[in-house]
Amino acid sequence: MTLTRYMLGFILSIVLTLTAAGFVATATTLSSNVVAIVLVALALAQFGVQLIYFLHVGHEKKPHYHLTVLTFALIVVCIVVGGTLWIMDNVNRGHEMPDIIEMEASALTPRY
Amino acid sequence: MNSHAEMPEHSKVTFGFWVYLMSDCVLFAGLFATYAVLHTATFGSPGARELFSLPFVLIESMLLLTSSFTCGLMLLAAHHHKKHFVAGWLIVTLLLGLSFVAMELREFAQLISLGHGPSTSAFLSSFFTLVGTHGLHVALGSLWILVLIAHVIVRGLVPGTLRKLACFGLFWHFLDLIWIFIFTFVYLFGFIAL
Repeated sequence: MTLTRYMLGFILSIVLTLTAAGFVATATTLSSNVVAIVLVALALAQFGVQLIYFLHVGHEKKPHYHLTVLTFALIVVCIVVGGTLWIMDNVNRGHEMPDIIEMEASALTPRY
Repeated sequence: MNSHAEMPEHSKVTFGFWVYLMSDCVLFAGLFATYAVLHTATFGSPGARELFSLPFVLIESMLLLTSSFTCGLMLLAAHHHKKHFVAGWLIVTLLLGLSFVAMELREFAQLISLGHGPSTSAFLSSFFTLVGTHGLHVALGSLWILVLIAHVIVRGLVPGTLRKLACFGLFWHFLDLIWIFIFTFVYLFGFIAL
């Protein structure tokens, strides 16, 4: 918890924010998937910077309770967000392939 | 390098507050997941790309980021028992936070006046809920700063006040963390029409 750490975190965060914004403004020829990956990487980098330099995560004395609880929360976040996207993608796919639904429906319909 | 071990008398309370922040994280995860699912459901109306302004959002980001930095400076001053610097940095943090809230309210009011209110489409409902919840956190945090300024002035940097300041520091830094993801996934992704 020194001034140097806060200043470093502040400057790095500014750089990462401006880089992300600048990238969006100028990288118009790249595919949106590539741009998305870069933006996510920049966001995660800034997340890490602020966790370490502002919140001092990982710099506490043992046992690292803060880090442990944070890891658990992040796992829950991944399950909630990832699981939601997976499920909703599945649900939406159902609407896009009516042929398959009819085929499956007819396969399941009992024939006498 | 100093560690939090220097303030052991409130490490249990700050840990408990940290656990609360982690639960808040999960709350925001739910709101982000909802936005991710619904952000294309614009019901024929303009989407993110047409409605948001990059310079505007960039200024908001700089305001919040700077306020997180000044909050850190406040905590450093508290660590060195400089009561007046603590009050001073609290005021600066408050002004930056209120500016952020004011900008966000302006953005919301403008969207609503143009007919893009939270009840217009699923995209807008999820947008207003996610960004609004974060903004509400910042607004309530600003209110908390007022109380803290009063504590610092009236009682000085006694252990109880230091504990409260530490908890507030965690809260305010956390809000900037969440904003990173709002900035990226709502606004920047909106501009590339993802």
